[in-house]
Amino acid sequence: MAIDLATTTPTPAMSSSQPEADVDGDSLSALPDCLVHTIMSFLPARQAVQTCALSRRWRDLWRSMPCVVIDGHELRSTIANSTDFTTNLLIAHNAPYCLDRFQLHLPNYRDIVGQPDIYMPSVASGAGPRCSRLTIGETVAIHRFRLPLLGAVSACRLKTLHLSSRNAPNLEKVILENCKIPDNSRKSKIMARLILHGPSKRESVIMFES
Amino acid sequence: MASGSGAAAAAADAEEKESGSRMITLTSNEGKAFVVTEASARQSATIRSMVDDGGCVDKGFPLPNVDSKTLARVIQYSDEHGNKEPHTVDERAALAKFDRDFIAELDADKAFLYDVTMAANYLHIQGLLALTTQCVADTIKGKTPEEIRTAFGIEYDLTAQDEKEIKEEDTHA
Repeated sequence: MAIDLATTTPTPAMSSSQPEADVDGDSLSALPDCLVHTIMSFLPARQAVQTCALSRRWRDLWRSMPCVVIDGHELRSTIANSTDFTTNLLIAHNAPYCLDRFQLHLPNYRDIVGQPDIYMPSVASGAGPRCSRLTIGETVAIHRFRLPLLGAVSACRLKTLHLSSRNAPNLEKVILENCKIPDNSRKSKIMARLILHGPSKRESVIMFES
Repeated sequence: MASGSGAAAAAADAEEKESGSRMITLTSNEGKAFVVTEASARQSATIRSMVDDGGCVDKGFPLPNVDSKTLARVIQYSDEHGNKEPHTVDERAALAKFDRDFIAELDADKAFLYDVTMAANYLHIQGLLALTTQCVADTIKGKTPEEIRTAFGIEYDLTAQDEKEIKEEDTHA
């Protein structure tokens, strides 16, 4: 079936309903929201949020960005500040069903040894319900790491859960609790792959079969 | 790649040279026809799906949202990425260098950079879209709001109320 490019316009036609560029030629602000969001997805979270101070056009754009990358290295602050930033960002982010990617990269916070759950409430209650890809990286100093509330209801959009830890030579167990593998898994491919990346970057794929 | 108004003739010519590879005509909103290889056109997911659906390959594809100048530049990118498959390290490095030069040239003309971004989005050319949006993000990165406004000519029109709210939000974050 042929699609006519003239009638299917995935994005608004150029210079249509978008805010007009001003005399100085601010055509960046004239780009449609989806493209500004694509640009924001390359920015660290704090800077993406700070674009709200540019102009009225930019005031609330970050709140609906579908891709949030929080890098603890960039925040250069204590674990408590980083937690607050993450929590506040997720509360103020108001696009309930369009958070496609949420990445949290933690530096080696030595102070969270023994406090394994410190980060997770904000992630689980904020991103969990609406996120389809959740990445949590470099949780190196954590002895016991738990993701609460990623149950059937709160993580209904979650498609990929990616846990990475560069220096975890002693990792013994990964437990996925209450992960329901549907009975008719031959029909649906939900929970189809568990991929283990070894240090050599070779991957082993464990397929679930009913 | 051949580009110009003699679409049909150019297509026949090129087809003789590259037997086995179909030629596809893309027409800008100014009516100018560009003849490209199918491999080049397939860089666009939009065109790829239409070709695979057995769409109007012979009639060509009108692109009402893309002007000739922009389309020519987009084709320059998709020719480079579609017609060559880099196998060796050197070939990959050459393609990376092409991308760097390509984007450096575009970055010098911001309005044109956005036109190409819009076209890449419309045609779903992921590699090109990533290249152009990353370029804009790199310009924003590390700058204060004031510096970003200057770099992109953004007019400051926030009200005192906005400023107050932003300040309040900032103390929370």
